[in-house]
Amino acid sequence: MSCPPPPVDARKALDFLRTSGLVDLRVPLEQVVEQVSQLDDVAGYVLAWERYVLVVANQVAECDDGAAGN
Amino acid sequence: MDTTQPGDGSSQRRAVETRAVAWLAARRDLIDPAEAATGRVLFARKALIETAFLVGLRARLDPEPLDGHYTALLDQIEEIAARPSYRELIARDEAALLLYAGTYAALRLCGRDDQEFRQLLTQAAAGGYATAFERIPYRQLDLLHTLELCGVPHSLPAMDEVLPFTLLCNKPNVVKLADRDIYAITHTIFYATDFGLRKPGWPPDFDLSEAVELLEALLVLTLDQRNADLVAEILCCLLCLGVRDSEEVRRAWEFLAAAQEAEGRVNGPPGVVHPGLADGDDAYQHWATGYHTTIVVALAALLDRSPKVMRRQRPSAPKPRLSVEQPLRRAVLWLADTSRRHDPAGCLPAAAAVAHAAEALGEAELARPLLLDFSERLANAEADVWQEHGMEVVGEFAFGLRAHGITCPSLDTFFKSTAAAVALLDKVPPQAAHNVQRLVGLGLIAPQRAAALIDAGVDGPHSLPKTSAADLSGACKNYQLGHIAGIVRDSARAGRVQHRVTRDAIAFLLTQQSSCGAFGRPACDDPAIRERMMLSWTQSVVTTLATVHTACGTALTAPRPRP
Repeated sequence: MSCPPPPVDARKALDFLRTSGLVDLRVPLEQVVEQVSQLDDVAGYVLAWERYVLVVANQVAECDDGAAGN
Repeated sequence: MDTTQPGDGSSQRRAVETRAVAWLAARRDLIDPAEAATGRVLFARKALIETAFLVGLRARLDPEPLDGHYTALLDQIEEIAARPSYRELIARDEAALLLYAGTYAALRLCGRDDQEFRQLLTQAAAGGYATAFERIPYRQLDLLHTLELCGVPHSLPAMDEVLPFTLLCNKPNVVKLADRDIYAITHTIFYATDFGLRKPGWPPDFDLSEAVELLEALLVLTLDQRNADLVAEILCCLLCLGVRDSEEVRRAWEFLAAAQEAEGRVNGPPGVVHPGLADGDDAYQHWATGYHTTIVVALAALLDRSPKVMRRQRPSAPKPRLSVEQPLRRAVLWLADTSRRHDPAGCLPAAAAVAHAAEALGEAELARPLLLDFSERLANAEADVWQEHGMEVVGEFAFGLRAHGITCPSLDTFFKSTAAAVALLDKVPPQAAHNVQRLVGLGLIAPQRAAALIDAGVDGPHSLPKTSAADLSGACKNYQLGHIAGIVRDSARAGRVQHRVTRDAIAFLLTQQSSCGAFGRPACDDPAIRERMMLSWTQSVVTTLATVHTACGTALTAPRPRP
């Protein structure tokens, strides 16, 4: 008489062994990100100078060229 | 860079500098604002001053006369600075004083002083705006340093008085720093140390060993990101502080030498140049995206070989005592209490986290009410309930039940079936090895059988990528607490719990705990959504803090032997 196959097969057993869930890597709420990402724009008065000296954006260059006449 | 070669690698670093300066010199026409297309004039002025600074520092840091490539760059700078169309902009564009003053400083340092240029600067500096408008602290240091190199008198507060306001001197958390913050730190060190030529008047509570630790932590992150520009800037900072013999410095040189192209160019990180700047001009794009990084790499090599730059023994890293016990206990209490009001099948990971952390704390009783409740409510659960959560969660839940002598019939049945299925396998992939050991710990398979399964699968693919510390900054910015918790847990398991990056990430997590004990600030008003999010985050952080607590060796009782 043969034994019935176990309710958990080998594929399921492997999936079970591979699955980790104690640390939840999902992002539970996207809007948290969306809210704070606007802060850079609010802080633009600080960043403008940094762009000017460190990373020159094209728009800044255009504005400056108009002002400096060069 | 082959650091296995005889010697200390100084000749290789000298070669890095020579190649970099040769590449810059061959493209010196691109730093001429008069030759630049309309949209590129400001960029050319910026590149001009940065190139001028490198040449000026070469004259200061190396007593030997300039060689051909440096001389070619200096001649170009002098020719540009002599034109009224460049120098007279100082009087018209006072807000950009530093863009012109650095050029003059370089000429002066190289023995090519220009009295008319100096007068233009002196007039602008005394004019009631150029040196007076409000700057953020490190730009104020930039101003003071530039005026110092120019020999232009002023009555501004000294550097020592500005330093206390800088990010560097206020114990920044490394995982919160954006690239612009790192530049603020590196430039503060450049100006305060006068590029390695002086000991700054640091604020009384400034700890040099902490600053070195901060820079080395930032090197870890920027090396992971393969950001040659920041790696070179931070390396320069360590050299300016006199630190040259550390593992991080060695890794930075190795990376930069490998990143340097045959012609001498070192590519900068993406995004530093506006996409419209090159406008399809590949040669210009090639120069614009690499010139700054190439300059900084050359500067690092120059600082490394200069006999004038101070040297010191690397200060010992600080050893702060890390304790997460109290916040962990408060979080466990909240998680246990809140989980009981929810469906046990959905909240099984939270219950497992509670059991895991209670054991790490040596306070198993914290988990008992929840485990009793869930074991009763899941007594007749279908196998799928256990299956979907995986062995990490179910295993910790089962360990918790066992610690309290609690039984759960459906779980016992499921484990028997699973153990029987595992017995039919001939190998398991590497990422399953830890969970196979959990089966051993529960007495469900024999240790020898587990070892055979793991050994047979050891060469298999690791489908789960290792977490990277470089992801921390983005995870913090995007408020992905679960992701941060995962990275911290991996670091703690890898023996890096006391590393500055890990400690700062833990500090970040701890500041996200509210008075109720839960972790995370959902920033939304719906109570149900709030609780769901806080359950997820708290479960993740509790799991990680339990690992941290154990790694710190502060468990109140020795944990029982288990995988």
